[in-house]
Amino acid sequence: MKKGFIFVETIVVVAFLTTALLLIYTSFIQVLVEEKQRNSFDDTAYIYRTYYIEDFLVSLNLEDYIYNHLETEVDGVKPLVTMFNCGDLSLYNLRDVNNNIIQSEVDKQKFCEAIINGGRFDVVNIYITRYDVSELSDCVEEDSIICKKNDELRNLSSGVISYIKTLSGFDDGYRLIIEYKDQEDNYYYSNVKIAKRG
Amino acid sequence: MNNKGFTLVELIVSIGLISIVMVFLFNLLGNVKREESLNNSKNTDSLNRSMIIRVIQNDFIELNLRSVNTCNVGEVLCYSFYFLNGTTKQLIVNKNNIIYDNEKWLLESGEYTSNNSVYCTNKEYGDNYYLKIFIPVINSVNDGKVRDIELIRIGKLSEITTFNDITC
Repeated sequence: MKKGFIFVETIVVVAFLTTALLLIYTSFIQVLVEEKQRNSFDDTAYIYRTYYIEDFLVSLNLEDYIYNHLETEVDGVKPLVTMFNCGDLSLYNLRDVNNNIIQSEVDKQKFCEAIINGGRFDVVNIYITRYDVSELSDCVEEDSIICKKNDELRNLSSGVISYIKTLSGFDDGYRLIIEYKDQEDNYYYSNVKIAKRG
Repeated sequence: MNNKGFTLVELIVSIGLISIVMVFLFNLLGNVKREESLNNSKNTDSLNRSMIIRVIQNDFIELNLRSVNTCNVGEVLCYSFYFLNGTTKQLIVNKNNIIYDNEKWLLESGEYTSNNSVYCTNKEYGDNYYLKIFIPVINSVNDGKVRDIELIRIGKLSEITTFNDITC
């Protein structure tokens, strides 16, 4: 009869302990990576930046833009996401009833280009989605047939996809998601519900 | 074969193996302990930063910013904000703290500097303008967290009075 550990038993115990520690370490590292990624989501300064950009965009014909790009079917499917483009002329009332150019609307377009495409606010991309992103979130995960028909969906960066998966809320309406990149090439993400004009 | 207990060789090998595991374990614990003490100051700075931005930006939005002027009080920067209801609030930036509306927040890691501190668009976009006050932090722990303070305002030039020292 054995009265204590033998060599093989010790090795088995050590191997078991090492495996357990490795598992703990792996999950610990994963938590650290996720925590690091969360730092780039919804930073306070970026939330206010997004709020002001949204406030400006609402002053344009954003409702028409959303109707054209999210509510109009493309190949029988309504897109789940659209990339905002300042150059879309449906955003502005550039001419009055006498076909004269309205300077204030031209200024709005220039301002839009400056804050979004001009690099002043570090904006990389602006996405408009429905406020409830659950369908989009599933779509990105499963890469279903509907998703393949939405060209802009394929252009989503992995950072935006990770960010979308953290979003919640089932309200009606639309959501503005902005991807930023600072001078050190760090990406940041923020979103805000698009307010109704007026 | 004698199976009644450890031989000396078995004991030494066992202790050796356990020591290796323990070295890794203590190393990990040491890192966790160091990280924990660093985290305290990092979290305080992060929390203060969010609070500063939130308080000032909420004033910009709710009290309706009318004008910004520089003042000569802080070591690094000083701004006076004038609001629609007639109130004035000062933002004083020192190397290790920020004072806004007589409330003080300490910076535990790094220092505030005045590089690229303010930018405001001129009349190049008609009635539209944006104001950006940027207060960078230097010499802080590099942990991937944003420490710089950034205040933004986008609005109509017709809704603000002339900024004396800041070209808008």
